[in-house]
Amino acid sequence: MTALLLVSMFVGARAQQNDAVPQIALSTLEGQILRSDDLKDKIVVLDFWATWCEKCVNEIPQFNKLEKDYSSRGVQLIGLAVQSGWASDIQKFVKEYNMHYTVLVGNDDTVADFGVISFPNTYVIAPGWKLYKKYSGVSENKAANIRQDIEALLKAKESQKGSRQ
Amino acid sequence: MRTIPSATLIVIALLACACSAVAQGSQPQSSAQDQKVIDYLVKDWGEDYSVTTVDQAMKAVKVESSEETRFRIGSYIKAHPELHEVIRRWGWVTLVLTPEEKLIARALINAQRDGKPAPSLSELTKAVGIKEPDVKRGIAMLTRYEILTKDSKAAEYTVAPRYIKWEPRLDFVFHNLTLDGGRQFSVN
Repeated sequence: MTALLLVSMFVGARAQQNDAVPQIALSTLEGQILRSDDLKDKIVVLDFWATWCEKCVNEIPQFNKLEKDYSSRGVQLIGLAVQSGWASDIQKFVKEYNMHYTVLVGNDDTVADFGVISFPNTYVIAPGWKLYKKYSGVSENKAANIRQDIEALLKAKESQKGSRQ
Repeated sequence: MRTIPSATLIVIALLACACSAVAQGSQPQSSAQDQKVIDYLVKDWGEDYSVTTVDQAMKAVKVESSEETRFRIGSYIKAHPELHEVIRRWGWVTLVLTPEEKLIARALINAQRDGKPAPSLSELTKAVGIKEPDVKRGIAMLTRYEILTKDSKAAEYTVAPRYIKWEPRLDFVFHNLTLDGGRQFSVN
């Protein structure tokens, strides 16, 4: 697996609207395959995390809150676990950390495809599986910024819907 | 184009197929003896800056030298970077492959990256300074770990794209140390 992965101390957000996001077809902890195609109509918050990454684990309550507030509005929170062993290994931590959102089991290819070199690394993905924003590292305002991103995307989705009617 | 002879390739491919289930992510059953080696490694890594390899650990806990055992333990380490920072920092390949396997991989990677034909067995023998059967064993092991894949049409091995880009680097070879008490490890 990719060596020299670092835990980021600082956050950097990068807006790259409409950039393509690498396709995924990964297993959930229950063994079902979730593909990016299945998510194309949704706003997705995709968080790369690892069971041993303390800073990633610290963010889980905030992601739980986002899941609670937005899942009914077409927003999907995904924790993509990498460098964390098999599904059975990850499952223990998901329970321990009380994660309420979908967890996928990543692999070396996922890390390479996304060019992940540090944790945590969070992608806000617009409908159509297009990159809206990428957050590398941690910051006090990260969850609030993601919330703003989601609101902006929901608004854009609503106005698109309105203009079609 | 110079290639590795096809008879050799068939033997290696059969070996690779037999183990593809393991390499593709199913969970190989590890024995109590494998666990002993893994426990030794987890305890030893990082002590005195050690980057202890699987074969060193097998020797330390007196596990009989076997490609099969080494592959089983290596596969476990590959799948479990969460075990120790040393795996994440240096990459599983650094800990799992032998220096000879790393040199074989490097020769194949460099050729492919430069758009040159893959080195033949005799060229690899010369480049790495080991005998032909050992080169074949090394190629078989690299194939089992899916670092190499066999192109059935061209009857030639290709390196998985990730390794061409050095993700992860697989040519880290460190100094080996032996302490008075007999403990052996590599150190970065």
